Amino acid sequence: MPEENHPDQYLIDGIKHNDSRIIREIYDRFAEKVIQYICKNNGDESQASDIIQEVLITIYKQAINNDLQLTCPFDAYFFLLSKRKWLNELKKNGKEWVTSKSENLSIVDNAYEMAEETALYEEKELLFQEMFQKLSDACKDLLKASFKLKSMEEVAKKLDISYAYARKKKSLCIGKLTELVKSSPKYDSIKRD
Amino acid sequence: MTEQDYQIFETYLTGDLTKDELARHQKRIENDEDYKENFELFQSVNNHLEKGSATESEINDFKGSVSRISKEYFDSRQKAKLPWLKMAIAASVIVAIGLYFYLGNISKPQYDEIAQIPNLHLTVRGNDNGIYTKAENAFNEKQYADAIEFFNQILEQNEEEQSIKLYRAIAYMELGAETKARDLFEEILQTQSGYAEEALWYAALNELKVKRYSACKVYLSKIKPSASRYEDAKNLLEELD
Repeated sequence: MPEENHPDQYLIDGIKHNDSRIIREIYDRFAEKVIQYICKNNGDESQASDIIQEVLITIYKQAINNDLQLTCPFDAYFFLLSKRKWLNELKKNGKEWVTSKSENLSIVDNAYEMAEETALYEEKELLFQEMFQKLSDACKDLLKASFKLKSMEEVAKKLDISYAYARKKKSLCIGKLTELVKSSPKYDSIKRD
Repeated sequence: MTEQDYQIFETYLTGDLTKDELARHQKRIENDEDYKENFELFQSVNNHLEKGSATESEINDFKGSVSRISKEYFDSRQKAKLPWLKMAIAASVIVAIGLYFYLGNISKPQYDEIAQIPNLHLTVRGNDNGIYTKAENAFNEKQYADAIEFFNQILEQNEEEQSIKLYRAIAYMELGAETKARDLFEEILQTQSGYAEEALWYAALNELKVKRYSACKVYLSKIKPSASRYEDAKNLLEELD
């Protein structure tokens, strides 16, 4: 049974529609907690500003591409995503993470799960995109056309190849892409059951 | 995986496998872990390509909004810091005086300690409507009577603006018109809007302000664990007990 959306879903919808009023509301209501957290953990205000922007862009992409449905409070979701991004940033720069005694947040419901899903989704997207770039130009063109045009007949016509060859080529190009993804060292981190 | 396997995957996804092919495919999924993994990845890559993503220009538009709003937010945060510091010093003096008088007495939390009235942001670039600017300015300058008038005008045009209703109720609360504020909070609570959760918190503060502690507790206890105010509500409930 599908879970019911959280009342905070309107914030996700606002992000999805690039609604400045909602984005400002998110800053007013939720940014301070993230800023405090980052400043207490080896960071400063300008780094917090970057992290918040990145998190909003992550949510935007997922809302557009994957029709993100919020099943937990936005507060917890937003904070966990920011925290995760910041810890990755610290790790990248070999810095230590200072554990703070209280994060002043009751993390309830499935907020962890949602944040985890979004992070995983983002990693997957990045990996697929990165590997897509490694395909041959012929594959790139064919795949782009196949997912843009309505039918494979149109694709065949556009690329001036036969219908049967277009379909075969499409399956092989996706196959090639899966092989590239599998051979990436990042593949393990997106594999999760 | 062979070329043929990939063709089977693709044909499966378009729903064009023959009965025999389908049966063979399903059997292999059951018995061949590697085949299964490859098929699932193929499906996932296919979904990714199919759904498409936000276009470069959409993402850039969004980035533009976020970066502008971020700048506005951090600028106003900088400005707010100094007065906030002064207020903090003033507040600590008041607390010290309070302690002097009330030492030994267990006092209930006060509205003024708890209530933080958020700033209102109604106007956005490109959507600058005179009445919204006036409402926003009046509210943020604590000219609540004026703000209420502007809110009413906005609601005449669009009676479904729940955020305006919430801020109008807060304005009445700040003016000390607790009965009117209570009615308006109740009205928002009847709706299923995202503002109903927030309204519970302010409805509780409205009762705290007039020291109707039990009514305050009733509102607080209705705030669900999933609400972003839950932690605040829990703390306040503990202090009231």
